[in-house]
Amino acid sequence: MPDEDRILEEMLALAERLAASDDALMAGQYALLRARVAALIELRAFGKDLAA
Amino acid sequence: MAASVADPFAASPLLRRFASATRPELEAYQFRKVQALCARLYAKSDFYRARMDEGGLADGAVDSLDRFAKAFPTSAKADFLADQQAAPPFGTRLGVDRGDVVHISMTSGTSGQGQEIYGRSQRDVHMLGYLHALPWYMGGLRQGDTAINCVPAGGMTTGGWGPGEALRIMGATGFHVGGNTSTEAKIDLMLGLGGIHFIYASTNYLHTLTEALLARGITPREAFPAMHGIFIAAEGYPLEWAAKIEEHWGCRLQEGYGSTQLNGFGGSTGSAGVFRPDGQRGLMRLFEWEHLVEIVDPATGAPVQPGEQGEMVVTNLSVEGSPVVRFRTGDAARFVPWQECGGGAWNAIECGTIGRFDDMMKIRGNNVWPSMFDAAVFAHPEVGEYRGRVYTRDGKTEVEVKIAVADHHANLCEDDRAALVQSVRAAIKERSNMWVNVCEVPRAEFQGFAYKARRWADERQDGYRL
Repeated sequence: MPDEDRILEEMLALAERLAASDDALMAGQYALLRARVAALIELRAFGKDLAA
Repeated sequence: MAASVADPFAASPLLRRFASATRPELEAYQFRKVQALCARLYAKSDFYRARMDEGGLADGAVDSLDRFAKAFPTSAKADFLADQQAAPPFGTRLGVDRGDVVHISMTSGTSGQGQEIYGRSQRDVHMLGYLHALPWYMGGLRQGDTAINCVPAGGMTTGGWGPGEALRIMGATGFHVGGNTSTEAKIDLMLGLGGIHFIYASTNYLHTLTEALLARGITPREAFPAMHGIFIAAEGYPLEWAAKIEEHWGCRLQEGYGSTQLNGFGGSTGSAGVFRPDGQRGLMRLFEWEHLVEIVDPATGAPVQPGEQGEMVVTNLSVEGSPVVRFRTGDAARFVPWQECGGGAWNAIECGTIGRFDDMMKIRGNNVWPSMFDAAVFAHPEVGEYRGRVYTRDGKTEVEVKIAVADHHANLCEDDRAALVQSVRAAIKERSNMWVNVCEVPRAEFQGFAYKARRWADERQDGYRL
């Protein structure tokens, strides 16, 4: 089984790098991508410590 | 002179890359996308597999763009409706598994023939937003802006969902005021927002909104000084009207050509506005890396010559769910090749004059479009709205045009009103080669609003009833 939490954390880090782009056409779209990943991390958060 | 838009190319390396492609590079990219599209649809779509077999494209193999355009049979609305009827709801045109359809887009049904239905994948939905955001970005929309969307939101149409997705993915704040909000309530809301940067509206509604603001004594450029751009679609207009709009709003007017079949916009005036530097009609540059657009003689199917009007035949290069391939839109546009566009490799169509071949009226031997009358009538800023009627009397075809003076010109004297009627009549003669009957009626006769204006009624068949 993949470690989904870890993959999402890595994706968030990558998305944050993209969100630092200075391309005005892409800036909002990268921010949306980052927010999507951040939302998936957030909605999985409850009980994470218990499982560990 | 309207304020110009911040250079969208300077602010986007990606857009600069698109703009720097040569014509051979663009066509090579299109060819690769067409090959992949045909191969995928041959495997997934009964509808398109039959089309390719009919055209002799064995196994969906295409060896050139020229061969694709000559061998792949065109489709039209009636073909899609028959396909849907036989295999509801999506027909057999899906390019993805049925389970990957997460959104649908339906055409508006204004043709009266029926509504096409398109399945969209998750990627298509992002592209739906992007294909609205791209022209709006070029037209001045930026992250953090406040935008007013006057097109009815939601429902099942492309125009209902695309704008919302576009504003969200651009990171702008969208106020979706179209639909049930009255014009007066929209104005009250706009005045209370503390700054508006962008408006999207149909041509018809921008006219209504501007007229209502002026009737309240509000000068838009003073009430909304932060406006970057106003973007219209859906209907033609005269340049005199566009100039007045830019003067009233103090910003450039931009236009896009879009449709459900294109999953958004297929071209726009970019940041250049609807006027060329010499004051002539501007150009909508086509997003040809997203769509293959042919402009053909509707009778022969042959490509039209530069400067000629033809029917747009479109092929999606990035749609997954229900792609259109060589779809006959019925939309009439004047073709301007890339070599005549003042730089870049993207072909163009003339803005402000898109019409429908199925709207064409044959009157006393003349081919006329409603857009011709729109141009003649709305070249007069005193006119708020009009309606046209073609009918038969004593075996002769008659044309009646009723005009209503705009509320903010309500103080026109009788002599000026009579002169206006004569001026409109002469302007129609100049553009259509026909003398028609013009009369003035009260503005209240034309209250109410539709997203796509239907100003004309053809009642000639009524005159033939026995």
